Amino acid sequence: MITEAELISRLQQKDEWSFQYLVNAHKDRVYAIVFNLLQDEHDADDTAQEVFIQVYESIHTFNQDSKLGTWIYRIAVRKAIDKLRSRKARSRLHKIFPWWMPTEDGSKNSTAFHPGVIAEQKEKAAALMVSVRKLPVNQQTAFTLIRLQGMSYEETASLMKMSVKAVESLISRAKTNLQKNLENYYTTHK
Amino acid sequence: MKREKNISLEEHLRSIDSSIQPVTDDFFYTRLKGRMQQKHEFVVPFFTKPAFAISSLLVMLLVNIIVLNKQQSTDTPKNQSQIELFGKEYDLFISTPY
Repeated sequence: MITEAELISRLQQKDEWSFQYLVNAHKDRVYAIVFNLLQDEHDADDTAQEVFIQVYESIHTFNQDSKLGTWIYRIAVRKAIDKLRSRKARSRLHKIFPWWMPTEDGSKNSTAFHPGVIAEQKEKAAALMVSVRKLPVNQQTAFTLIRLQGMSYEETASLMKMSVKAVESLISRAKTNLQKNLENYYTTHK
Repeated sequence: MKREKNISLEEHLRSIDSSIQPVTDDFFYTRLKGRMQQKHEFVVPFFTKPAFAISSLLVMLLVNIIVLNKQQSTDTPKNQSQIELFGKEYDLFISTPY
């Protein structure tokens, strides 16, 4: 059994075995975080790979002020947020110049196939996820990490680099906005 | 009415409570390594890039054309007179019995 300090030291020497060990230990959680945020298998796989490439390239900057896992998941959250922001910017541009800027619609229906959502709940889950996607990015991230990923407020605050109170406030605002978004969803999908 | 809406949101939230976490497949590391290798392979020195090669070729061609043009324009009587002057200085144009 290798200690975390030893693993970090080996990773800094670009030891391949250690990198494979790290990837195998964290790949599922990293994938789950980015999948839950992006709701698209292809984007999630792509982003998860980018996370580990960044880990490999910038391990020498890791100053051990948190656990290695927290540092990796923070990178995953940041990468997923960047992708969400670029998607939203794209979609805004698409509204202005529809002929010039194609939208990334890959995730449109993917929520219905989220693993583990039981069949009779799929319709409600899909409606909820459509509403979640309309939330501002920070609210969407906090909501997803807590409700879908099952993280604690403290863990979410640490990954989002904000206070627990700020996360609580984000969740409260997310719920208010979700209520409105769901009402709109059912009005338009009657 | 307000109560109905709250119940509705809670029901929707419950619909995702049963969801299990998605996992990646067994070939994730293989794909990751492939991408990393590809990334390193594609980091080629700037002078091997086609844009650089083509533009340096064009610059060399341009320099050649300029030099040739210049050479043609200097092949003039002025140059001829310099040759004559050089010949006179060393008596190169004097015919001898040898």
